[in-house]
Amino acid sequence: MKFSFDWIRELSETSLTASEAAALLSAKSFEAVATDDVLDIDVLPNRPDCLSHLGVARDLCALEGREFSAPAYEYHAGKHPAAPIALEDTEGCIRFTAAVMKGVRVGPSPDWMVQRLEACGLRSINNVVDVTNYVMLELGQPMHSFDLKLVDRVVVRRAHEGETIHALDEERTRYALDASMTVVADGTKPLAIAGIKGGADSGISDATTEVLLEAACWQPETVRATSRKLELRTDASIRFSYGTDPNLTAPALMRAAELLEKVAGARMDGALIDEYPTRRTPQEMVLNGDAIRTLLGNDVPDVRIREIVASLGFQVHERDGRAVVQVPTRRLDITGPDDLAEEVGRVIGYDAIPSAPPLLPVYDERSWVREDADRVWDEYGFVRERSALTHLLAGAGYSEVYNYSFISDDLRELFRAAGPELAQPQSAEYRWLRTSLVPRLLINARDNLRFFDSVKLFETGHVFDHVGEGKESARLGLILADRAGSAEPFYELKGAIDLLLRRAGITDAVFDDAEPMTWDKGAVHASAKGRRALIRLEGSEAIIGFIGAVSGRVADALKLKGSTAVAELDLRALVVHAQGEREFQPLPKYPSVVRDIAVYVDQGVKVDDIIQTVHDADLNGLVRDVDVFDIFLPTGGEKLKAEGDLPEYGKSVAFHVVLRADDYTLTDREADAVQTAISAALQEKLDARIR
Amino acid sequence: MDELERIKELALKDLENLRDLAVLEAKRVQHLGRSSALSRYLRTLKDRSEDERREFGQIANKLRSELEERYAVARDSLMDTAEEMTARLDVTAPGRQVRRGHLHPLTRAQEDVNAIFAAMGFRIVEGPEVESDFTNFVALNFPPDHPARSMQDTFWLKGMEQLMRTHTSTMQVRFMQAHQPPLRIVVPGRVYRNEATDATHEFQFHQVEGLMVARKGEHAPSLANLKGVMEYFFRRYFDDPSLHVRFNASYFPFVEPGVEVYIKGTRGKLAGRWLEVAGAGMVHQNVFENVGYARGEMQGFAFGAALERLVMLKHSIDDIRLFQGGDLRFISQF
Repeated sequence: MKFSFDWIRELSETSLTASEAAALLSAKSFEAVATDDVLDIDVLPNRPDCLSHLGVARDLCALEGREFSAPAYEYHAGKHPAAPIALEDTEGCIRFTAAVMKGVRVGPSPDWMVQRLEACGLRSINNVVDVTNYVMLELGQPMHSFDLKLVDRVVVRRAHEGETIHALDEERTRYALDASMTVVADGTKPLAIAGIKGGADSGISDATTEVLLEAACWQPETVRATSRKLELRTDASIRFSYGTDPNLTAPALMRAAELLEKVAGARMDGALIDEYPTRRTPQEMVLNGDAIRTLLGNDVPDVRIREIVASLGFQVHERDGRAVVQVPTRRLDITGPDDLAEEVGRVIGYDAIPSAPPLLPVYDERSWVREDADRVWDEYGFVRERSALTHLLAGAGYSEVYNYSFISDDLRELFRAAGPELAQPQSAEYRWLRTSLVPRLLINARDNLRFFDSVKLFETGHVFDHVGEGKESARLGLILADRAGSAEPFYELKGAIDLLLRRAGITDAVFDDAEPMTWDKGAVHASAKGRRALIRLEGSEAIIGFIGAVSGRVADALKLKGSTAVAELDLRALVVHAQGEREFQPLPKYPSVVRDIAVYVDQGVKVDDIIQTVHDADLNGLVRDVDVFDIFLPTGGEKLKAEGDLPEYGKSVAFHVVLRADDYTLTDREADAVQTAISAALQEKLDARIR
Repeated sequence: MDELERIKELALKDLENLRDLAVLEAKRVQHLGRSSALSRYLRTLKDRSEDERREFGQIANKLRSELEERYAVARDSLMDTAEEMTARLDVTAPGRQVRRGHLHPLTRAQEDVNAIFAAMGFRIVEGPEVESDFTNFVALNFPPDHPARSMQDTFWLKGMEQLMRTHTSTMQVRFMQAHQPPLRIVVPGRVYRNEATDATHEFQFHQVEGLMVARKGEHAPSLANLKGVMEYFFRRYFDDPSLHVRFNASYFPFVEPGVEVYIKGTRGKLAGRWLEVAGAGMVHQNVFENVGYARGEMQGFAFGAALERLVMLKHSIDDIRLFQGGDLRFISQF
């Protein structure tokens, strides 16, 4: 908000320059920037008392340590009652004060007034309207002037449903009112939207000679709600929204009357009209120097505290041996002792507060947890383990991305999945909460393939379930895209998953391609049946992740070239495993024997089937590991070149079998026997041909 | 004696100008083998007196060790020379590339921040991003019709009483509801504001929140302590042990007094100008009351900084939008 520094100087009698004053206000009150003789001040919402030149001048004096003498506005009003008013809406209106001015000569304002208004960004209209604006800028009390001849009576009431008003602006904008809004009305129609805008039909014109001047205190909540509903913000509505001092209305009227007499030759007719059902009186609170010093962490003496409080215009007196402060009604922000501490802190200056590193006792908060409380957060253990996993991935060549937590209408349609909808999104691009990290990772891969031949990315973050109330969980998403599309990226990505699982201490993960895939559709729909798997723990129904090759359908829709694989893991499940205690296994005392076996099998036979068959054939429990080291799949119509009657389009699988006994050295004969048994089982159960 | 001198002289002479491993081995057998003059000499010792045996035996064995050592050194040197001639490496040829990935700069910053606060005994916790009106606004002393609560400023979920949290201060509420002071926590996390995006504004960004509370009279943290902690943190984070911290008066509903934290570096790109880096203040008694503490019994401070802002200052990044969207040309610089 713009302030005339000339005006502030007049009221405060400061000897500072505009930029010195701006620097002082910025450090101790609110941000202020000086440009020539204008201060642009960002008055904070808790300081509506400073939405006026008088308020800023008073604060400036306190900051400078000088006494402020408020100008006394005296105007001798008459005794006989003026026009009666009916205050019906005592909720919306805290105080309604008005005066009748007669003998008004409407005309241009004097130059000094026009200049001050313009410095504050207001346009001069005529001397009557200008005086109301001038008083608002000076004292912070918004006012309104009605042409008394166009007003038969004054009623302050709620608007009726369906009522309308033409605003006092150049377009005569029409506003539809409702019963939540307060209006100033005459016998039949609204004359003004209370605290926001006057009506066109009762405004001041060149023909006006009698004026009804209004200075009211409107309830902030009503003004705020009405202003928002009508999308109408004015200088008045801003001030009333923050809250004005009800005890300011009468002095403001006096000041306006004084000015109108000076610039428009008017005089007040009769007494002030004043409806003030519940008088607001200054609050009192104890001034506790120790509490202030404890909060600020400094040693400001009591005498200085009293000085500061007094300089802000607060009365201090002794009662029962304690200092009691009377807080002026304009200071709506001062409600408790900590608010006084803030006043002391900012006036002595936060630069005067020492920097004192705290004494830090060592403790474990877990010992004083309230057991009944909701614990929905992640602890440092989780943060640390996640960090270990991400560092591992970065070492393995995967780069980390951050994406928006929202997906577009298009992505929602493509993946047939989305979380809760935002009531008012930025755009259709970010309308739905994500249920999976996969859709945006696919877009990251596509965009990066413009610059790189292959892309390996990962992201960690929250996803939001499409059922329930935005239930969220932590995920780790991975993508591997290759523009040339030569290799099958699924297996390379699976290698990265294996790495993560091993880091987390998970050795019994199963990759299961049984449909349907019970993982978020947002990820599952990236791939086709037969080219995707759930990742779960052996002997458990708990699913910890998903991996799949990206389908042609999705790749085409996203214009993603080459071949791509995606995966998504439940980060909490990984971390829980990683945090498990590791049991030491004694080192083997006897040597292992390694046998290589290679078989031809039908393409439909899975590696897992082979491994299972090997273990089943191992009756004496000597097989310690089965390690596949080569798989050859013929492409297209090519047949395996092998002797004998091979299954058509079969594949070749070669693996090491590691054999070991715990308590003696295995002999070659025993190893031979196991190998023979394995070969026989493979032939029998899988129709395998041993190479 | 003379005999030993002669043996030594011959054996050492044969070591000179040797070029061939096989020749070296033959010479070694000749001078140190079972039928060498030295071995023969040692065998004759048994016919001498006990004193002589001890004296000359010692000298002869010492010579043997010395010669063995000299021959071994000569052998090592010959082998190395041979390898140098036949298998010389071009050390300037490029190494075989190992491609590493890159952590996002925000992750790295978050880890740095966590480590600095962990060193001061702060506990690191992370909270949910979808929150209730109570946790995000009501408990934090936002009045019912505060502008921040409107649809224009906050992402509310359609048809639900929930919202995308606008600050990590929600965890002040959750943590205090579940714990009795003393406590000190740091909360990194993602937050959302419904505002137009430009080079310095994002509708989704990250904050790091701090909270330290104790019972009054038990070393309860003061505003001066807040300054001390801010100073420690920013000096560490920007690696500038003389960096200046100052507070300006400000207003946030959940603190009283409320301040804005400014820093001024003493070197590099932060030198010479005051930069606003965080909002902070003393926790409002209304907040304590809202989380179930008795009014007036506790005292503490809270602060919050945008992680993006810190990273942008540290690395001279001029557009906040680069953090989102996963452009590897950006990420791989970190």
